[in-house]
Amino acid sequence: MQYKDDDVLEPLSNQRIEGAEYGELYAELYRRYASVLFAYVYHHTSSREDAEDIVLNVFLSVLQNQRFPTFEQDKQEAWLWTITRNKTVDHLRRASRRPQVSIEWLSEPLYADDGCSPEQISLAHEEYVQLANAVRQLPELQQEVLRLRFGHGLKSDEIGSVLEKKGAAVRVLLTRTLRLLRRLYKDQAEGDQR
Amino acid sequence: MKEQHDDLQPETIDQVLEDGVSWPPDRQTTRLIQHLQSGSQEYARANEHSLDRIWSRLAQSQKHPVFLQAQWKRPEKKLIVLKERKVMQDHTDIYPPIYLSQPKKGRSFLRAMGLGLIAAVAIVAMASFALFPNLLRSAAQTVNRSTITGAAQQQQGITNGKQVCSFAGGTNGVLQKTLWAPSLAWSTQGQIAVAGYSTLKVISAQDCSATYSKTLQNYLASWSPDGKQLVTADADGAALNVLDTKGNTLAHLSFAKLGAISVGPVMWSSDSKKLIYVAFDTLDQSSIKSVDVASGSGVTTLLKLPVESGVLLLMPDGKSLVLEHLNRAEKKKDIEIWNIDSGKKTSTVSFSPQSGNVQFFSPVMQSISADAISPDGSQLALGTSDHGTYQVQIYDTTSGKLQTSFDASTWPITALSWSPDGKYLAESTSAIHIYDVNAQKTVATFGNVDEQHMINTLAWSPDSKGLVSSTTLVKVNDHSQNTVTVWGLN
Repeated sequence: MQYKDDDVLEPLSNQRIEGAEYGELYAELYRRYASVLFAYVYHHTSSREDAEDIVLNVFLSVLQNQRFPTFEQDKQEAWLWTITRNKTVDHLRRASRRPQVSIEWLSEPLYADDGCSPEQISLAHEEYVQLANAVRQLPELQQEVLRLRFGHGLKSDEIGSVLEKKGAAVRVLLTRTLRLLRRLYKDQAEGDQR
Repeated sequence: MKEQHDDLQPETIDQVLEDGVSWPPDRQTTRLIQHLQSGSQEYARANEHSLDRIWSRLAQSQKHPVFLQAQWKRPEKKLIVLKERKVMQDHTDIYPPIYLSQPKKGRSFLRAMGLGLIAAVAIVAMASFALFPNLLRSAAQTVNRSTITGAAQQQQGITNGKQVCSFAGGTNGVLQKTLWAPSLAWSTQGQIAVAGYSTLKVISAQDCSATYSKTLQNYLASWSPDGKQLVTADADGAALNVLDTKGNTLAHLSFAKLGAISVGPVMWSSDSKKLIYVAFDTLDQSSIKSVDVASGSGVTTLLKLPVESGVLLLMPDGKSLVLEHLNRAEKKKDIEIWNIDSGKKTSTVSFSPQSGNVQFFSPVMQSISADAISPDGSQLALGTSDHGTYQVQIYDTTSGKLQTSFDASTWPITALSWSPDGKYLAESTSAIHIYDVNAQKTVATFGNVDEQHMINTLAWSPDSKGLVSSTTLVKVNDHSQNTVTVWGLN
């Protein structure tokens, strides 16, 4: 594999890292980026298997350059995002399709083994249904932010990377969305008091 | 005033969600977060499984022995497993956490096949042919030039095909539905380029002797009409590279310079000086652009494509293209012909899935496994499938109407390619068939493969007297070799 941007990818050290040290660095790299890169690809492909394949290919590309883990972190991140975006675009082009279905990410939790009373389970079920309906009524972007936060466990800055928005904007959007949804519970509480 | 005391503030939202508790504590906020966390837990665990599977597959990769040592240093669960929610403690028994180090079964052949042979070959074929028009163009413009025989000859009629030579075309790209079929291009100088997952090979069409080979992750190869320049697309380098016949780099055109985040398909102008290409401006928006090859400048946008559309083929005349366009109203994708100069749609191909059972997600992919445009741009051939019936359908691109169709075989059509003289259509199923378009009959069949293999790419020689094919194992999640075979037609 040849990197066209070798000047950008100057390693911190000229020493080649091998063996177990490389493995450790690689594992750390995976820990740090796999989740957000997967979320990005899944967001665009709407296919879990396609997303797995593409992220796998990204990390296989990393494997072909043993010095990669020694690059500065921001360069690593830039490189990984570039490769991931390219592979995603390439996949979409090859597959000749665009994502057109939303990913269902909310599902009703199980209550049976919680030791809850039937009344509590009924209330929880009712709350969940209301919440799920409210989420589905949200604009697509707000739904995506929630999915990436709660379904992928991403922080606001990472969500920003996936959606190509600034982290601060994501924080504002996330806050507004949660405030909006919280009204469901406030309304319900007020109803209970009456 | 109420907003100032709200426990949900942008500055602290990440921490609130991390802790699961806001400050000052608000029962409704906590309840909301609990519900969002519990409601998304099943999905979150599926994502953890995905990350786990990717890791397992990385570890199973035998191509990277250094990486095997990383298995001993697998990430600890707290770093990769979804953080255990404080509010979800009651559910941890129901959903036991999945750790990266947990043994996982590899993907089985059956599972890979479960994705569907038809879907796999469809993608392979569409991917291949999406990159083909440039080849067809150069071939069409130089139909009388020499290739194998070294002399211009009038086509006498094809009756059979004989193997000239074959060679290893490089490994398949993985994986499953994103199998990386090689792009084949046959130059007017008698060279064949194979751009594959890991290598670019240029060989002599006469005896398959190698001219040069490069380790590159390419997805496109196209010779200029004069046969002196080869353009390839480097996926990881994010650039188009223009090479001479000996492999020397003439131009390096980064996607950024080309005003795109990715590029393809690509075709040459008739004077071999410009490249016309599909530029992905964003993931959802594409345009047709051109660039001067020698200077790498003069990037010009020729047409901005409508959203929710994708280019299947650029027409050989360089002025039209075949587009698939999402039709939301009817929940299907239309195949449309667009004129680049006028920027308008000129016709909609009357293709519709015979079964009527169209899936919203990718209806075209459900029914078309291969496509090819005739050298003069007047006819579009589609390889179609419908519940085990496989047909080649030929449409008039001006009217969009079906002209003729014929049954292929009991196998899906994996590739289609028009001869540069426009007389023949090569199609591949379990063998390569040469179909005489005017006579409406198959005149030659050769190159049979067994059920474990498929022919995934076809390309004609510029003089219509040769054909090159690529064959690979059907097991698409394997790094198996592509075998490239050169055929002489007579």
